[in-house]
This record gives sequence, structure tokens and C-alpha cells, in this order.
Amino acid sequence: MEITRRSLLKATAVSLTLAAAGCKQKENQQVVSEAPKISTVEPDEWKAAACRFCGTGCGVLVGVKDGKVIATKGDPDNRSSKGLNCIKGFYVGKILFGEDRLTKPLIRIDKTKKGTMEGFREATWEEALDLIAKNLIENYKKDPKSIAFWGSGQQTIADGYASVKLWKAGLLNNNIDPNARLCMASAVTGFMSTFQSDEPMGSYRDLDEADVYVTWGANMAEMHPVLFSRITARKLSTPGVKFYDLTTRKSRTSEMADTTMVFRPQTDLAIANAIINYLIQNNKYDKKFVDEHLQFKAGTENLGHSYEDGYDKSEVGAVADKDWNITFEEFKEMVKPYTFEYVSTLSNVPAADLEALAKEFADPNKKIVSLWTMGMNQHTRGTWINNLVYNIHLLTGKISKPGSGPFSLTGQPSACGTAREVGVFSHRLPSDLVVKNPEHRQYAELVWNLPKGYLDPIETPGYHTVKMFRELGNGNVKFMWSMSNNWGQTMPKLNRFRGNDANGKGVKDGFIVVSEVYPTRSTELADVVLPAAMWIEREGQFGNAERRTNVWRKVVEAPGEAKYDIWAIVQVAKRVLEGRKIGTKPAFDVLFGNVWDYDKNDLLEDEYEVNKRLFEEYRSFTNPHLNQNKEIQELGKKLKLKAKQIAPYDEYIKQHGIAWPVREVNGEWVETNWRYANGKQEDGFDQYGIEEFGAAGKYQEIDFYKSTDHRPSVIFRPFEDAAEIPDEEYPYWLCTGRVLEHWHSGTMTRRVPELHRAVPEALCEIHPDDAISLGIKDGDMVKVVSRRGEVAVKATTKGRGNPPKGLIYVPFFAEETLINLVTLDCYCPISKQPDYKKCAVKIVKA
Amino acid sequence: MVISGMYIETIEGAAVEVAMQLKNLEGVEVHHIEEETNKIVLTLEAHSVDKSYHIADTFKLIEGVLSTCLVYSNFEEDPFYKKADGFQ
Repeated sequence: MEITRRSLLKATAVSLTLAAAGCKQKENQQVVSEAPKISTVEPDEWKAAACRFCGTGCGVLVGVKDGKVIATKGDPDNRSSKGLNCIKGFYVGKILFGEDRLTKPLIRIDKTKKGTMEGFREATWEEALDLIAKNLIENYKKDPKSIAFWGSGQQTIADGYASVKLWKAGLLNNNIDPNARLCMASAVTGFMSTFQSDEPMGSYRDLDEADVYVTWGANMAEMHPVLFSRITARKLSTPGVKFYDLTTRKSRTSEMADTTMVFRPQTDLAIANAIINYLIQNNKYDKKFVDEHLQFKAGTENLGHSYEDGYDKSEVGAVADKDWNITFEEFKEMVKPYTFEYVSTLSNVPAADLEALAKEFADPNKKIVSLWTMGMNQHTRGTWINNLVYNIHLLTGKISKPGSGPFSLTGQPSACGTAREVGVFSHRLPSDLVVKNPEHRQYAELVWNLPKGYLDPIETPGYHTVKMFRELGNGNVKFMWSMSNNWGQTMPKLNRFRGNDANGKGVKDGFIVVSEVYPTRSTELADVVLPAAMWIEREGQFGNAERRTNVWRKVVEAPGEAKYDIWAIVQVAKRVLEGRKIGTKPAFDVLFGNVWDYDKNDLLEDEYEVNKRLFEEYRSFTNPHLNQNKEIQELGKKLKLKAKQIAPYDEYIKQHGIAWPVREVNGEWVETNWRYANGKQEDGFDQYGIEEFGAAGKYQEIDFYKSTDHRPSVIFRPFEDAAEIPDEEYPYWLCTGRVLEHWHSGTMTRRVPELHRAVPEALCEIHPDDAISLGIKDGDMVKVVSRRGEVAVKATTKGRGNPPKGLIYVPFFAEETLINLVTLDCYCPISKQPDYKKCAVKIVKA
Repeated sequence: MVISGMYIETIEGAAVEVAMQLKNLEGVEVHHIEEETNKIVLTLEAHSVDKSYHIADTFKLIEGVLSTCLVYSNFEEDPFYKKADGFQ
């Protein structure tokens, strides 16, 4: 019996793997002959889900038999991952089962114990929700600016949408921001300033077709292994394919590179300008593309750095995002100083390597994909380096074409879908709309059935993340609710934001709500902890880096009294909106009446129905033409909302994910892989977007119809140095990041024993010469000390990465090794995203 | 037993040599080698998911291995899941 079961399972495994690997099936005759029997060991049902970890958005099929989950496999119908999962896929189910899952609401009864998990008592949901609502309302009435919500790129799309609606329309408050501010904000402002439209124009399909790959601060081999396997497959199967890795520390990704360019931190700005200068000086740019498609700009320079709380309102901080048109000739002069020789001196990268990369871009026949993640985004000039990489691709016309394009990867599963697309930012509204634009507010008012001008009070953006936490520390934010994130570990300059510094005291005094699945360094700082249902314990949706939205169904019950976050959001809304009116109607009924069961006085019981109704409402932002309201039709058309067109909810379930804009073609909903590129929709091109908002027949069949005058901006951005540079007292650069086995702050992956055993502790990677000069041996405990704090960590010269002399690397996953006590909270003046990759430290033996 | 299906990508021309080494690993059975695309299809049998991961994690130590792609994993008999009674 056992042998039969084994052989059948193995036959299943072989059959599926051959198919996923794209191998010929001739050896598979035995599998075929046993096919009828395979059904006896197969689950009763496979349910489609998206992986809970990174921003790749791999499809996972969860096998259920007799009401239990018995298997997982890559989802071959998910067009992002095509049946693949990375090795972490083994554990995506196991993250639900940590022994210390939060199963009951907790209320703090001893504020002196804040900073620990002591001093709580278990509470009923009713008590916890009443207490939250009371504190929220009391503070709001005293000072509307004293409340804040910190969301996440790990909230589902419907969670994010409901939080935005409560905060922006319900409380008329813009103090809502996501943890995506810490990972994607520079990509967003880069997209918006260059293209006036957020998110990549290309697709993962580009990875299968490029001739040259350039990673600009991305360790894809560890952080996006499934996507990296597509690059390796292309590189191995196609002679002449090249890979350049630009990095400040050699990583596993560098092992695959033909050329690794280890540059001095921050000089990526100069390197990009050197490539631009070479292309222009040698007439190697695409002149027709420039003439037909581009405009040139310069922006505010000498931005300084945001050390002080008042930076945003300082003379330069207030105008940091200003730009203006210049001529191509003026642009040409501005980049002229960036010769290979000069930039080589700045960056320590050999001039020959810089030239080799520039020549790849200069070759009109080569298809090039640039990829980046935190190396470019977590940068005090993060917006600028995003702009610069776009400049290179725009000047060479290597964009919006199969195999060519700049591609910003994401770190979280729904940084795009939730944080960006439904607008969980202090300056945004759903669908690329922003609060400061009166027409955008008007459109949101129409969709949300609000009186004209109702959203005028939110015309000024609220606190971005760093500002929000700084004001929490200062005692000006007195109520904060955080959801699906772990700020007590991941914010930079943690001594302030854990309430240890004098200007962080407000963290201890304030009223903090944390919605979580496990105890974390953030729940330690909470006044109320709400136990959340996670992943397949609930219905949900994520949107990944290639604009693909995935929907998954609830498969199992959450443990204990854990509830899904939408339930908690709407329950709090019910309480805080009590007595408020919008026009003549109760505010709650206007905003959340469509998901409320008035008979039971509770959220609708059917989670599918709740999620579907919220999603369809969000979807209506992107389908103005389907609305009965003529005002919505007309304004929606003017604002080009259909450029982000979303399909009906059930279609995502049917297709196992679809990339927007999604067009209805002969009754079928068809995705878009290359925005702004004319061609057949069925082949992945943006046929209907071009038809409606642009024109066919333009040069290279591209029309950047979302950009001002249909011309993206090539913006001059100079090299300006980092916020803190190593000196005699603090002689080393510190770079922080992740490791393959642990995801972000380790809340989930450290509950998986084998992953914990594989990488049980954070290590400080140091160059062997530096270790010798400091008298440090492998395994010695050292203290990494900055002007802001210190942390003890074990040193290694044989880590997975190899930092150059003068730079150390420490990952941030370990809650007992809070490296963020050391980091700096200076941010990009435009995106407001802090830089976790550069600050100055010294190392002493512990 | 936990039974998984996965494929390995190798550097150019190394698939056969890598497959020979993989065959020696506990629980590994190589089912298909595709030299043109440098891919090896294998199944892995182990007592638990943890053990599966532990073995699969050693693949990268074999010279020539570029990546491991997990496609399928049946863990119905993993002691951990039995204890947790599946996801219930």
C-alpha cells in the first residue's frame, strides 16, 4: 500500500516538475499510465493563493483533503511564476503554526512595562474595540493631527482600501502611511516625476528575452530567487547574454555576473550620469526617440539632509520636489562633468567597466533590463537615482518593449497592490489620485457618494512615516494604529522610536494599537494588541511588482479569536463614526453600509462578499465608463482613470491573477504586459490604452499617454553625497538588509524551526583585512556603534556576502540584534524614504 | 514521508555531473536530465518538511548548481502537520 502511495505521489511530483521545468515528457509514459490512480492520493481540491512573502507574487496552490491542507505546489496558471516557488515555498504553510500565535485581544494594564510583553491582560474584542474607539475619538477631538494609522505592503488590497476610506473619508485625516514608505516610496516618486504614472511599464516576461541584465542594488539571487532563475535560464541558454551587477557588497547575485561593479556608497548617482554623458557626447542615444517622446528638466539641487524634524518646511526642503523644463543642450552641459575618469575616482569602479556598461546601452540592437530594489530606493537621493536609471532607458529607447525596460522590483507581497494602488499614503487617494489635486478629490467624492467639496479638508498631505514616528516621539501624535508591520524593529534610529531617547518619550506615553499575528518588538510597545487572521485563514488579494493582482480564498479557520483586519477596521469605523453625518445620512452608512449586516449589527458574515464588494468599489475608480453617473464618466475620462483598468473580482479567481490595465476584449478580460506600447492586446501590448488615450504609428509604436504632453521627463540629477560619511571617529559604512531564509523582521520565518536553525542569528560581515586590523576573529562578538546607538553582533569574514574594505553588512531580521538602533533616519527629501544602506559606524570588540 | 518534486538548474554542461552527485544524497531520485537546457528533474523523499529543506539546502553546495526550484510538495505525513492536524 505504502509503495503504491509513494509511487503515485512521486509520479505526480515528476509530472508536475517536468511540466514546470519545460522539459520534454518522453520519460513520462509511466506517469501517464498511472494517471487514474493518482487521483487517490491527490487532494480533494487545490485552492489558488499567492505566496505570503516577497513582492514576486508567486502563485501557490494549496491542496485540501478531508478539510486539511496536505500539499502545496507552484501554480502553473499563475503567469508571474509559471508553476515555480522558491525553496521558502516549503514553509509558506508552516508560518501559521508558531506556538505563540496571538489568539486573544490584549489590553495593557501596566504602562511602566511598555517595551516588554509584560503588563497586558487578555480582553474581549468588545472591550478592546471600545477602548480603541474611545482613545481615537478623544484625541481626534482635541487635535485631529494627533491620530495616525500605519499600514503596510502586507495588508490585502481590501484591507488597505478600507483603512484609506476610514481615515481619509471617515476621519478627514491624511495621517495614514504604509511601511511601503520604507521600501518603495522612492520608486513611486521616481515614476511619478518621470512618467506621471506609478509602477513599471514592463513585465516579468522581459526577463526571458533580454540580452543584458543590470542589477542596481538588488541581491535577486536571495531576495527574488524565482525571478533570478529566469535570468539564469536565459543567460545559460543564449550565448552572448551579459549580466552586470552594480553593488556596494558582493552577494550571491554577483556570482552570476560577468562584471561586478562594487562602488562607494551613494556614487550610483555619478555612475548613471557617466553613462548618460557617454551616450550624449558620443551621439549614441536614440535621437528620434528623444525628439518624438521626451522632454528635459532640471530640479532643485543642494538638498542637504533631513537630520532635523523641521526639514520638510525648511527653505530647501519645501521645494525639494520642484522641477522645470530645460533644453536638451542645457541638459547636455549639465551632465558633461561626469566623465568616466571623474566618476571612477568618485566610485572606485574602473573606468573600463563603466565604459563597458555604457557601451551596452549604446548598442541599438541590445535589449536591456535594469532591475533594482532597496539599494536604489533606500537612499537619501532615492528619487534621483530612480530618475537617472529612467533617463538612461529613455535616451536609448530601451523601454516598454519585450526584453527592454527599467524594472523596479518590490520587497513586499502587496506594496504595489495595496500601498500604491489603493493609496495608503499620506498624499494619495486610490488609483494614482493625489489629495492636493482638486479634481482628484472631486473624483473620489463622486465614487464615494460624498457631497462636493467634502474632501477639501484633506487637500494637504499628512505625516509621512518618518515624520509620523518623529511626531509620535515628540508627543504630538497621541494615537497610532499599526497593521501588518513591525516598526519597533524596522524603523531606523530605533532608540528614538522605541521611546528610549528624550525626543522619543511620546512613544511610551501615546496610545498605540498593533494588529499582529505573533508577539513582536512592536507589540511590546502597544497599549492594545489585536490578534489577526493571516494569509489563507481569510479571503484576500495582493498586487505584485508586475501589476498583477491575485485573489485567494479562505481555506482554514484562524486560531482562537483571531479576526481578519477588515472586520476590526469596520468595527472601529462603526464606533468612531457614530453620530457623524455626511449630508443628511449617517457617515457610517455612506462609507461602509454596503458591507454591513444591519440585522445582525455586524460586518457581513460572508468574507468573500465583503472582499468582493470592497474590491468592486475600488475597481469602480478605474472603470468610469461603466458608471451610470455622467460626472464620473466625464471626469474619469479626463483623468485617464481607465489607464489603470481593473477587472471584475471573480475574473481574478478564474484566471489566477491578471496584470492591469485589464481590457475587455470580446467578452474576455485580457491583461497588459507592456504599457504604452501599441500592438495586439492578446499579445500583451497596450492596444486599447493607446487607442483611447494615445495614437498608433508614433516612433517605435510607443505613446507615453499618461505623461504630461505624452512626453516623460529626462531630469538632470547631480551627485550629492550621503547624509553621514565615515570619518576618523566612525570609520566604516554600515549597510543593512536581508538574508534568503528570513523575510523582513523574521516575525513569520523565525517561527519555522528549520529556517531558524539555518540562520539562527544575525552576523556582521566584515572584510578580512578590516578584521585583522581590528584584531577580530571569526565568531568574536563585536559592538557596532554609531552616533545613535550600538548593538552587539557576531563578526564573520566568511559570510554569504563579501563587503569591500571599509564597509560592514548586518541583516535586520533578528529581534535580539536590533541593528536599527544604529541606523540613521535621514530620508530622500522627495520620497521621504529613509536610507538603511549608509551610515557611519565604528566597530569595537564586545 | 514528505515527497517533493523539484528541478535544478546548472551551469552550462554540468547537468550530468551534478545529477551523479545528487543521486548520492539521501532521499533524492533523479528522473530526468535535460542537457540542452541544463536542467535536472528530481524527487526528494524525507521524513519531514524540515528534513526536506535541510537536504535541498545542500544542493547549492554541489559545484555547478545554480538554483533549485520547488514545484510540488506533499506533506500529508509530516509529523508537524499531523500534530497540528493539518491546518485545522
